[in-house]
Parts: sequence; structure tokens; C-alpha cells
Amino acid sequence: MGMMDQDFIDTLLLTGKLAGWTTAILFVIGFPIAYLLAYRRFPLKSFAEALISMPMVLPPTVLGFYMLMAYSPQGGLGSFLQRMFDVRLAFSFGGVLIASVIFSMPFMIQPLQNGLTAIPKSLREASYTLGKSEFITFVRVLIPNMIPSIITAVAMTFAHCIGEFGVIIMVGGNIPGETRVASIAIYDEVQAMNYQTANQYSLVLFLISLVILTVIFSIKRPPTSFD
Amino acid sequence: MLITLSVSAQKVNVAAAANLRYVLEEIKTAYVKQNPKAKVNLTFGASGMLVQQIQNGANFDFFMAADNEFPLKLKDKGLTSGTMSTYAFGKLAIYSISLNVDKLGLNALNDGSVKKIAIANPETAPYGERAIELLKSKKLYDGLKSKIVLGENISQTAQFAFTGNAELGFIALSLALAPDMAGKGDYYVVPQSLYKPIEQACILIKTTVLNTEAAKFKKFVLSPATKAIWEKWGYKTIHN
Repeated sequence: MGMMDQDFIDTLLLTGKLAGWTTAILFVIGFPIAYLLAYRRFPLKSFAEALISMPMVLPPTVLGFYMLMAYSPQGGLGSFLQRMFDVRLAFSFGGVLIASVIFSMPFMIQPLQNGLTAIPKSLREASYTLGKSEFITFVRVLIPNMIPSIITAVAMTFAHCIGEFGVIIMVGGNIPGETRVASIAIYDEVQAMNYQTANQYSLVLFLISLVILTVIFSIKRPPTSFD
Repeated sequence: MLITLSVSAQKVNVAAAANLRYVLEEIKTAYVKQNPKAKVNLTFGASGMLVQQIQNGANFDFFMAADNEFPLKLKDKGLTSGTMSTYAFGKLAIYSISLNVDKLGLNALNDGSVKKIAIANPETAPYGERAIELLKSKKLYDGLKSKIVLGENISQTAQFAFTGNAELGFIALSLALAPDMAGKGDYYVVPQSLYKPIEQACILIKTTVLNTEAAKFKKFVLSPATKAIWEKWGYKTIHN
């Protein structure tokens, strides 16, 4: 393996694990939210949309700061988790995962919402007219018609997770195997003047991100479109 | 060409180890009082991080490290001017907002309630390096290893302990003495016999235009005029 030592591989695996879990969790909770935003009207909808989009404009350090306060065993939530479940979120994979889920939310929900909105209303109505339930319509009609949006949502979320840095440096504590993901490792190696290792991580992240984005851009232009 | 040397004082950009956060602000205030035209900018970070920034061309005139090794790294690369001078000796402290560390001392490390111990990254922060050395020499390191979380610099380490996310933090005494920190928690000054002295040294950075103000500021930092300030913030001074 040569240059690829175990630490290097472990760090990349951890990065993939964080991005993978974040994407999976967001897929499950993001789809219903995107559905509501696309097809339902409810009070404060704009507010809800704004709230979900906040991570796109908010400095990661704002979330990092709030998380640090929330996770503290001195605080309400932190002490509750500590007492009830003996769980400590700061400096743990779980804590970083929660921050990551919150921070990547718009990257999952927005493409899904756009995909749902883009499907012609007539398709849904035809399905309802044929007596299909809303759920069956969702699974059999909507999902097959928004595959590119689903791929984009999943890929964007995954890519965004890999690129996460600000929150993790604030609540992570740089623990190998737990919170020391690749972006943190790069920062760390640069500070320690291990430019060669920093270079290896950087190159891997660069290539992975480039591949993911290329996939997204290539599916954004489907050869045929319906209408 | 001489016209470029304007009459107003030159600006001094200081790269300072994070443990100097409070003491150096006070020294700066004293210096500016004496030299009302002087402009001193302070930037704080882990010594290793600052060395890395200076190597990559950051615009600093004066480097105050948390040890006497990081300045030599710059000197070896020909990036400095003049000699390296020790300006103070730092002290290591253990800080906690939940444990009476002043009574427990090092026994606090084995207290059952301790889930996380914050230490500054030993690669870039000398205080973190000393903390790890101390744990190793006391044969505590292997047992506590899984509880250690690394702060990016000594300030972040203090903040981990200050927010209670880590029950214990190995920090600089100077930070434990800061009003907010001292008001909220307890600290224990680690006996200096237990670790290698933290000899903190400074050096001028080579600049294209000679920065006489920087040399003047360095002289002030090393002068007896600052002795009381260093002592107030828990440092052992070079003036006895």
C-alpha cells in the first residue's frame, strides 16, 4: 500500500460513514418534508422553507456554537441526555452526525421538492381518478418520474457532508475514529506541516467531489423529457 | 525613496500563542499608553499553526510562541531577524466547572464523573504537548487515552472545559485566571516539578522593510515594565 497507511484509510472510511448515515437519515425524513412543501399549503410554509434553507447562508460556526451550548451537560438538553441515557453528544460520532443532518438538510429537501413540483399535476390526478391512494401514487407514479432529482438530492447531500468542516471543528474534538473526518485531518496535517499527508487527503476529496458533481450535472440534462 | 518612510508609526502585526490572549492585550494597552501613535495588531493561534502561516507568507512582524522550539523552526528557515529571546515561563493548569480540582489535584483525572479531558493538540500547541508528557510520566496516559479530546489550540481547549463539554481541561494558567473562567470553575496549578518548563520565546520576523516598531515592541515585552502584568496572569517572569 505504501503511502496509504491505516490512519489514512480509517479517516476516509469515517468520512464516508458520516456522509452515508447523514444521507440515509435525511432521505427518510427529507422525503415527507419535501412532499408536504411541494403539495400542501399550510400556515407559515414560507417560514418552514426559510428555516430548512438556513444552513445554505448561515456560517457553520453559528450552528457549531449552538450545538456546543446544547450538548453541554450543564445545559438543559445535555443534562437530560446524560441523566436519562448516559449519552454525551459533544466529541462523539452521534453529535457530529446530528449537526451534519441539520446542516445538510436543504441539500436533500430542495432537489426533492423541485422534483415533485416539476411532475405535471395531470399525472397525479390520473392516478387518483383510477382509484389509487396517495401513497400508492407516490411510490408508483411520482418516484419513477423524479429519479434524476432523487439522484441529485442524494449525491448533493453526500458531497456536502464530505465538505463539512466548520461545525465539526467546533463540536468534534478531533478524535481519530470518532470525529476526525478527512476535512479536519487536512486542516490538522497542514497545521502540523505534514503537507504530504494533507495532499493525499485533499486529492482524494477533490476527486470524489468532482465525480459526484459530474454525475449530478450529467443527469440534469436528461436525453428526453416528458410533457 | 526615503519619502515612503512616513512620519506615522509603523504597524506591528504580532502572531501570538493562544495562551497570551489576555496578558498580551494588557501589555499592548500599556505599550500604546506610552506610545500613543503605535498600532499593534494581535493574532492568536496555536504556535504550530502560526509558524505554518508565517512560513506561507503571512504578514507578521513579531512571533511570540508558547515554547522555545517553534521560533527556531522559523529561524532555521531564515525567516527571522535577530535573536530568539525568552519572555516568560508559562504554567500548566487543570480547569473544571464540575469538579473541585483545586482540592483533588491530579486525582481529579481518575474521578468517575470524568468522561472527557480536553487537551490542546500536542503537535501544534506546547501546552498540549506538556499535558500529554505529564500523563505519560504519571503512567496515566493509556488509561485515559480514550477520554482525551483535542482542542485546536489552547483557547479552544479552555472553551471545551468552560462549556462543560469536557469535565477537565489542561490549559494555560493564564487562561484559567481570566475573569469568566475563574468565576465559573476551579483550577489546579500543576506542580512545575512534574513537567518540563514551558519556556516561551519570541523572535522578530524578517520583513522587506525594516519594522523598527516591532523591535521596539519586542524590547518593551522583555522589559521590567511588563513584569507585574506577566505575574498577574500567572507567568513566571524573566526578571527576578
